[in-house]
Amino acid sequence: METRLKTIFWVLVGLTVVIGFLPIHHHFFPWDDVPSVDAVFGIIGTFLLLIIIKFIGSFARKKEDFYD
Amino acid sequence: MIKPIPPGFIFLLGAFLIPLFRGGLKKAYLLLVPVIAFIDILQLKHGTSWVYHFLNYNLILLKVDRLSLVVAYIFVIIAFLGLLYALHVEDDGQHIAAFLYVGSSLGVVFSGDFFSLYAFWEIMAVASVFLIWYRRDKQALDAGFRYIIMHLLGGCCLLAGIAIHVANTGSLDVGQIERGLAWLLILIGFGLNTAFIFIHTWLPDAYPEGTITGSVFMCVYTTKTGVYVLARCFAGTELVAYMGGIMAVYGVIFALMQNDVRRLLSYHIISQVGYMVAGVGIGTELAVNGGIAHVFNHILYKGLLFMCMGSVIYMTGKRKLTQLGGLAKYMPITCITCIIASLSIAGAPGFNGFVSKGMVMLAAAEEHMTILYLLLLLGAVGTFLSFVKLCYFAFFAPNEEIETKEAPINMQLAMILTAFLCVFIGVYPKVLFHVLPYYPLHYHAFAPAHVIGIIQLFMLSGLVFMLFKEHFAPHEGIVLDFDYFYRMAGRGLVKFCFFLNDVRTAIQAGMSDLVTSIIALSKKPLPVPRPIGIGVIFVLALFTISFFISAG
Repeated sequence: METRLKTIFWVLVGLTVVIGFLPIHHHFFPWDDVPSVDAVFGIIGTFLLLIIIKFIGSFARKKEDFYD
Repeated sequence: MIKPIPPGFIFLLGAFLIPLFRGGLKKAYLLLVPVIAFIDILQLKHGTSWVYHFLNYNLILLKVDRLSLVVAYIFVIIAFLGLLYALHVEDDGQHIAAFLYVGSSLGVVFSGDFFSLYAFWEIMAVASVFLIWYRRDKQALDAGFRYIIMHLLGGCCLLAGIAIHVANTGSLDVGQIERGLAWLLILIGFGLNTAFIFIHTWLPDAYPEGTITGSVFMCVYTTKTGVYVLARCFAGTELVAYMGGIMAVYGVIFALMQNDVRRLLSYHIISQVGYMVAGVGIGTELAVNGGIAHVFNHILYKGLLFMCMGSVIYMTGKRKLTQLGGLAKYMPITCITCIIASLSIAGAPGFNGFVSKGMVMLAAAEEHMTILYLLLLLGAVGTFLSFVKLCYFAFFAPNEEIETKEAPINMQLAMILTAFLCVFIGVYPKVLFHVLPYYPLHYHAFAPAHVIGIIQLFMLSGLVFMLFKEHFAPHEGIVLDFDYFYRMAGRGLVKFCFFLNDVRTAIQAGMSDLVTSIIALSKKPLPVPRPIGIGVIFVLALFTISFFISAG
């Protein structure tokens, strides 16, 4: 069941990336003409957030009773 | 025909009648009051009324325009849903606090002058703190004190700003403010309630400590009245727009690190309010409409999220993601409505958040505010990730230790109705567009480029989440925020006060010893003990020096 769901998910990811090549874009920023640019933003954004939370967590994460 | 009254007064006066009712009648009364208030709002005509002359100024208790009306509609709708959710609560105090809170928020919305606005602003702060204290444990008590201290400080800034503004302009009217000290102080006062970064710490500190039902009200009114007054006084201020962008990202970063479910939601309030603040700050018609539409939508989905997590805590007694999991099979209604709220806050097509978030982002793009646009985009990615995490770890992650059942029927009903509104506005946004401040509105919510862009954004960030799931897993413990500095400063102040008290005690003891010695000396002049002699010489020396100084 889980494998099947994962397969469907991968197919959907592939489809959304392919749809990004259709000529329907906004034209506000230079990157808007790049096909599937929002997919790229999704990947970069997730990794960026992951790096930031790992960095902040390295010094800001404390035990539950820290303030007691 | 009866003249409509300021809607806030219906709640403010209605609060005092709550103890008079019992049982089913009380429940009917609690639900009837917001219905009456809604009918009252529908009767309101644009313009000002309920004006009173006071100390050479006009106090305007009812200023009605499209902006105040749209905010009032949603305030009353969520009051009804929140009271439905809280219908099983027997504690009259909680209902009274909620009524006063809703009433004073509506008071702020319809105030046409700064004096009335300030009065309602402070009632809001005092009423809302009781929704925290009614949880009646030490954590809630402490958090409540920190909350009220911050809000009173913000209130002082606001009052000082208003005083300077009135002294400079001679006008009490609520409206755009000239740059200067008054502008800054009022912005800080409003910014504190809106959770501007650095002065946001009261929010994730206090909201998770409120009562189960109280937090549903708290997540709605304080920050949204903040956005409303910003729209009135600071629309088109670039600084405010960029603050919104920073809030959008800051909120999601800290939300992603939380383990306490309601603290996670609280950080998302900061993030989502960031979109509203950004819209107001950009200041174009589309942007302000987007910001206010996001107020409307956010109140629905955030209220729903607090209802869902409140139900989870109410039924399981657990509030940490590390302790939860597997609840989908025990609490299906809560699970489904939580997924709807999560899709709404993430801004998935077909849900209400998609509509308003898209308006703010499009406005930023139209104004070519690249950095702001990228901040809002990163905020959208973080929001999606955060709610994938919340839903997965609360409802689907394996956990054999929890067995529970669905929340009481009134809670379920409130969640279902709120979820319905999230979807309804998501698929039929015109109903919302009709009540926005600027109408007609030229915005196509389901533009193909926007829909495809959002789906791509979510699918790919979801893919990365799936591949690196363990890195997003919740951890035990807390994450320090800027409140660390405030708490340390507070502790430093307490230590300094203790030090001053020690000095006072030492001086007092020394003086007492001196008096005792002089008494002893007067009784038996010789021999004089050495310390007493030194003390006498010291006093005599002091007197001599002061004599010479005064003579000179």
